[in-house]
Amino acid sequence: MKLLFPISLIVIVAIITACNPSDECREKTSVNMQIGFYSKTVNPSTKKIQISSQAIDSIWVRGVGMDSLVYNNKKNEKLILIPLNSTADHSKYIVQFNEITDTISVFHQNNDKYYLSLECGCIVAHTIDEVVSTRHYIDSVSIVYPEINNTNIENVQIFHF
Amino acid sequence: MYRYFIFNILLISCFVAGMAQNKKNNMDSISSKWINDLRLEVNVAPIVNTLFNNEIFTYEAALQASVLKKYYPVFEMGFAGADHTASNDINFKTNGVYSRIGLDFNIMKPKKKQDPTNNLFLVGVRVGFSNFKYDLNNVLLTDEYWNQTQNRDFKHESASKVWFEISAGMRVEIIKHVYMGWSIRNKNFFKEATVGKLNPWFVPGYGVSNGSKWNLIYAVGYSF
Repeated sequence: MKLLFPISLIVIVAIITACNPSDECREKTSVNMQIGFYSKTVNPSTKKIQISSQAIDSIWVRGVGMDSLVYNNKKNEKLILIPLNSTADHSKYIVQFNEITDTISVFHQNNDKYYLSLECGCIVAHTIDEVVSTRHYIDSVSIVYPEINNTNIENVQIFHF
Repeated sequence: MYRYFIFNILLISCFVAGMAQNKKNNMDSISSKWINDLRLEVNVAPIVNTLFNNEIFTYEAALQASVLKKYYPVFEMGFAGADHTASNDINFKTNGVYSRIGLDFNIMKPKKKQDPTNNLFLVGVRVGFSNFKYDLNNVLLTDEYWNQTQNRDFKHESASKVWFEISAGMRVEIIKHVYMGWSIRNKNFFKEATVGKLNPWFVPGYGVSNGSKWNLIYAVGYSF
């Protein structure tokens, strides 16, 4: 019992000095829609359509109305990450696949209350409603995971015949 | 919120005074047979902590009964708050009342040939609850590619949190009826925060809500 007060003092000092949580953001705060590229080929023997991942030789991506490019002549890309407009309900991009250009429109809802932590704040997450595109290089578009946040997951697949 | 806290403290005081009076007047009553004494405690550790960290405050009191000198049911109540600005300039502000109920067991057994003692070594559990509102100010949302910047304030967000605590500590009767002692506690929420939903940085009665917490209670009490 004589040790009660020295032990108590040591415990108080240890707890006070130990209670300084880090104030640094350690989470990913960028939010991008991930698009994967796939090619459709017909198996000559079975006549069935086969789907395989495809690397685009050269790709350019630019938001409509913007001067800067998201991708500028990037080589051998199997997927791209593009930021959606956080203050509009649709985002439109001009995508050039090698020599061929398509326009992709993404209709989405925005959630500007997606909380990470006090250190990292909030991000604007999105839910994809619909994706439409012109069909010059693109054959079809499929939404595989409509929720877009700071995790790396394929949201949309683009198919080329 | 302050008025609610003060009202409850007065209520506890009246209850303690009533029990003490009852004990004096009617020593053979059921309560005196089962309840050996009541101890009212104030936790002074957070008051010391406030000297080092002026962003967080806690005022806390507890009422603990001794049942058959073996079981120690306890009711704790407090008022706590925080006004913290992170390095990214996001400001979190809250205050609220919290309460806990729990049960301790005295594991100290006097040695044979030793006089009976009122000193206690208590281990037990608590369940804590707090329902409060908080503000999250100056949340900056930037969209670098589309050149959009929004500054959002989330005001009067409601939260209800329930957690459990495992407690161990000692109480020593330093002079007749006056106790001092400490307890170490480990706190955990029953339910993890939902990913993506707003979550309070600080929970009254729990502390900074980033996972499991260790906490010290340094109590000064009086037994009736």
